[in-house]
Amino acid sequence: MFCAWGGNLARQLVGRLVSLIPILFGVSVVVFLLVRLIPGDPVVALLGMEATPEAVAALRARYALDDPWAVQYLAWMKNLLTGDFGRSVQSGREVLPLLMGALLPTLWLALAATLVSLLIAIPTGVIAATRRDTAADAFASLLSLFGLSMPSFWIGVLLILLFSIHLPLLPASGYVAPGEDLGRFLTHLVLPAITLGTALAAAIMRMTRSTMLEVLQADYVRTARAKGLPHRTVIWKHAYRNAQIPIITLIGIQFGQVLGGVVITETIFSWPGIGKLTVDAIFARDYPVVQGAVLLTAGLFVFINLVTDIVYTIVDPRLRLS
Amino acid sequence: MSAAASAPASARLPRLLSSPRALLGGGLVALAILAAILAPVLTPYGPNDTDFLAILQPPSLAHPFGTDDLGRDILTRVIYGARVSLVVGLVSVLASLVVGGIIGSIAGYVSGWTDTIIMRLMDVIFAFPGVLLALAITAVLGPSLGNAILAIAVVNLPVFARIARAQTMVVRSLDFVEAKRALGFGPVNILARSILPNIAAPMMVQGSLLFAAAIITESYLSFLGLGAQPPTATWGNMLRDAIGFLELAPWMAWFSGLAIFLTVLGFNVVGDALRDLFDPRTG
Amino acid sequence: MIRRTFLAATAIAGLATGMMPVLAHAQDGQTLDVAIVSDPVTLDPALMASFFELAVQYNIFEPLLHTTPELEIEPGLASYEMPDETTYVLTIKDGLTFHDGTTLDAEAVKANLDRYMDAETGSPRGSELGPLDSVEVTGPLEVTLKLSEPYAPFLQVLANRAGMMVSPTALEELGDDFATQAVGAGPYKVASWTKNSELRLEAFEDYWRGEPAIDEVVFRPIPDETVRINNLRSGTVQLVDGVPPQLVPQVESDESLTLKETPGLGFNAFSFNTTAAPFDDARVRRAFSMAVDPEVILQAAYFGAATPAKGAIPPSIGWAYDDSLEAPRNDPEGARQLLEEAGVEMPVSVEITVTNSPIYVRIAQILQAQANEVGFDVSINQIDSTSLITVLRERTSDLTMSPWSGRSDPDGNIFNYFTIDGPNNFPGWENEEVDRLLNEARVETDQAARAELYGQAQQIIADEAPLLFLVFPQMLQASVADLDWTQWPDGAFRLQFATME
Repeated sequence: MFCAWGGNLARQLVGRLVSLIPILFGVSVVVFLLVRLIPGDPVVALLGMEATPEAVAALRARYALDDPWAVQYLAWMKNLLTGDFGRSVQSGREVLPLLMGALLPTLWLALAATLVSLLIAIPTGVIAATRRDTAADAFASLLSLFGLSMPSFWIGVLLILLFSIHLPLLPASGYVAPGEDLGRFLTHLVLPAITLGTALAAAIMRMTRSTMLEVLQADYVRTARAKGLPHRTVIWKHAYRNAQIPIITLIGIQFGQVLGGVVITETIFSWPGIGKLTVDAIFARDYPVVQGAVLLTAGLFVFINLVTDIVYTIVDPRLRLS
Repeated sequence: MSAAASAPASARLPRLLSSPRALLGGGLVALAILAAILAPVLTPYGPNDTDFLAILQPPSLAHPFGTDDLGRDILTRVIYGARVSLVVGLVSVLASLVVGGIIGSIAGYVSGWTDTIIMRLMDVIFAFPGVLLALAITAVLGPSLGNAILAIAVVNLPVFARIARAQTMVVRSLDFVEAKRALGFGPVNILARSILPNIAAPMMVQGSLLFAAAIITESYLSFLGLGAQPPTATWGNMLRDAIGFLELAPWMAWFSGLAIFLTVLGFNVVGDALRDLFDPRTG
Repeated sequence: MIRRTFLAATAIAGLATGMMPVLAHAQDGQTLDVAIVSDPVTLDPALMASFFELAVQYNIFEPLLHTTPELEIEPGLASYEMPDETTYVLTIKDGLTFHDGTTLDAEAVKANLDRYMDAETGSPRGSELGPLDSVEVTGPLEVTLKLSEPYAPFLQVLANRAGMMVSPTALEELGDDFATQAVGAGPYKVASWTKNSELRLEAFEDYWRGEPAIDEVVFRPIPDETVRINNLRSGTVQLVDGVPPQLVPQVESDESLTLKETPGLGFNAFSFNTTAAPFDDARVRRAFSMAVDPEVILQAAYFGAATPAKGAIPPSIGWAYDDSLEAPRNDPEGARQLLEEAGVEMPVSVEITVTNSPIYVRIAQILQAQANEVGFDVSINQIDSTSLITVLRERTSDLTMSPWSGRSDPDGNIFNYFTIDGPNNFPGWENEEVDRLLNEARVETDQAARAELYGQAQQIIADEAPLLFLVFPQMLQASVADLDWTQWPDGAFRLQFATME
């Protein structure tokens, strides 16, 4: 039985992976066209006010920007298949190392933000469920919506004012690699993680609350209660442990969304992540960087979604039936 | 299962009205709507009236919320800002709800290749990071309020299409729909008479939540300089302007920040309450 | 006359060298964190085009000649002689090397200048070098530069971006990677550069003025102006570029901080599109200019940290600045009359285009309020800075912001804007007389005579109003009080002259 199921899973995994190909192909076409439809081109952006017609012509030729779009697209695809993402028109840097360099800070931030959101969402969610329809429930729900209802640049600036200026406890912005100085890495991480994390808390809290409500109705929880186990033990050991699965899945989905949604937080905190890199590249019309960054982010996003989907199918038998 | 849940929707309305949370949310939303409608009556100033002799003035009787960096009355701008935020939320959500609803239910009803093509397209849009896609679209079309709304609508499209498709597929296989089909009713009739009423509820729940998100997204676009054009007052661009004066004139930021927060909170709370009402897992 | 100028220049140069502060010896482990407005795009001086890159470049690259904060020319890597009006002989100091050990000699200088002039490079430096015709190696440490006609700004140009020397060996070895791993002969060498995060520089022990006092310099791009200042106040950085004017009083009142302020080289102005209605009529342009009250802009947008501008040449270039220039301003009544005279239909509908930078959005809204008073109907179009260049070049808006970072020679502020074929003739304005005056000023080597020519040209420009000059912004930079450093009017940091307690 297990083996058959495992084979099925492998087949399903391969099938799902193959189904990502047309999506990523679509993303590559859309981003390629979108970035070229924005008025202005990378050479104009690079030379700015100092552009002379000769300089513009020379650089356009060097970056093959005068080729027809179809030719440019095919050249990009051909290089991509050999793992070559091209070079930034703006800085001359190779795109792939640039992307990898920016991805790591974003991953740290996304992880830390998720942690923050869990710290807010799990307790409030559990409280809301165990004291359903009381003032505590209402208050917990409101609290979790707090972060979701504030623009993150607003939270970010308020945090900087409070914790870097009035109480000079934490650095206002910037990034230190964990390998360089772990302590400073962590202090730099706190404010952006809170900024981003508060916005994620609402959905997780909501999911925690509803799955907890469901679990609390389940027989084994009633049994545990009937056996006279302490309230706290029943809630955390029996109920919460079983409510975790859908919460974990949701975190997976959100993690994917965070990857693309960190733009504003990264801008406020000068966090050198992939979101800021992409926005800057869009404004600079740096075609190879925008294309590479969006493709990478989208690829990660669909991949994480796929994995969480599959995990969900494994752990939630109800879904396996349908 | 959701179809079954939505059938007695009207019966749940009294419960919604008795919930203190829903009342709070509804109250906040009503406040924003009132401010938007009554804006010209509520304030003696115009939203763009500058007074260079009275810049950055703290709250006073003449200017209860103070003045901004160009001497404009902040209370007036906050009130007028409600119009922009509500329009952004309403238009972008309605547009993507209608379009997403139609293409999603077609995909779910017709199945086959049409379904595959539509949903793959939606997957492509969905795979784009939301803020980035909105940013790129407004950059292509040029920054303006209308284009910001369009961009937000496009970003939300897949969400509605997916819900509509899933609900349609469930409803389509229900006995009474099968019966209608057997009786020779055409797809248009079935979609409009049987499926639409059944997908409306979850779409509206989602809509009220995305309404809140749209107001926030507009503020992000304004923050990046891609929202409504100045001097139009939007809460997003007021907040952005305020950041340069946080310590000098913090009132510039308090009130626009508070306005966004309360309105978005209102919609989120209403959306949450609606969801509780219609989601059988918590109902 | 040529002779005299030359003598004066060398005399000043000699004097200044004598006064050069003796550079303190490097103390171990001193690191200076500097907050800059934006991450440099490229470190290759050939392709550098953004004003904000300048903040970094002089620390990595040394120009052939040196400019003092008072904009006097001094010898740098080389000293110069001028046997005639179109010949410059550069003598390079003996024993110079680049960061990678490559010898900095006549061949290297020639390679650099040839590269800037090569059309294939696509470098804006090419046009800055103007009539430079040939570069000849006339000795191991001597190059002779031949110009096709006299070019008064040439020495300032060699002391600026176009005089920055890069290692030819590194250029060849690194290829495309040179833009990120730049190798020059400046006081600091590039240790590492993480995009959008930090550009880490290390003191160059063989720097010709001696090893810099501060061991390590880290440039951190922080685009948001408030966050930038907060980083200084919280001690995360010790030096910041681009202090927002409204925060000046706060920085000044903080005893642990030092604010430095100096008149900049650039101007902030808006280009009228003179090729289409309504601004193809000089009267309408004048009317718009008359609607503007510079004092309001100065106070509400710059909080006093600027000087009102009537022309292109700023007070920081003292010898060429014209205090007596008259330009139509602050006359709403006159503006209304002029519009009626011009016979345009009122209100005159015009569009102002600005980038989304807060200060420009503020200025646009002030212009809008003031112009609407006299009979215009102004709409604002806010775009990103790349689109701005396109709008300026294609003239798709009526009035478009066109700020200029400025150059230490007046030619750099005026020639490209107001000559008929000038690459920055965004207004599309054609005036033969101004064209002639500016070309004449370029070849005139007598400073007083040049100033006279610029005065005439500027008056015509002010009357015809192809550009709406608003202000000359002050350079506003701040540091912790412990840092001793010198501010230059071009806003570039030259940290070889900085010491930290």
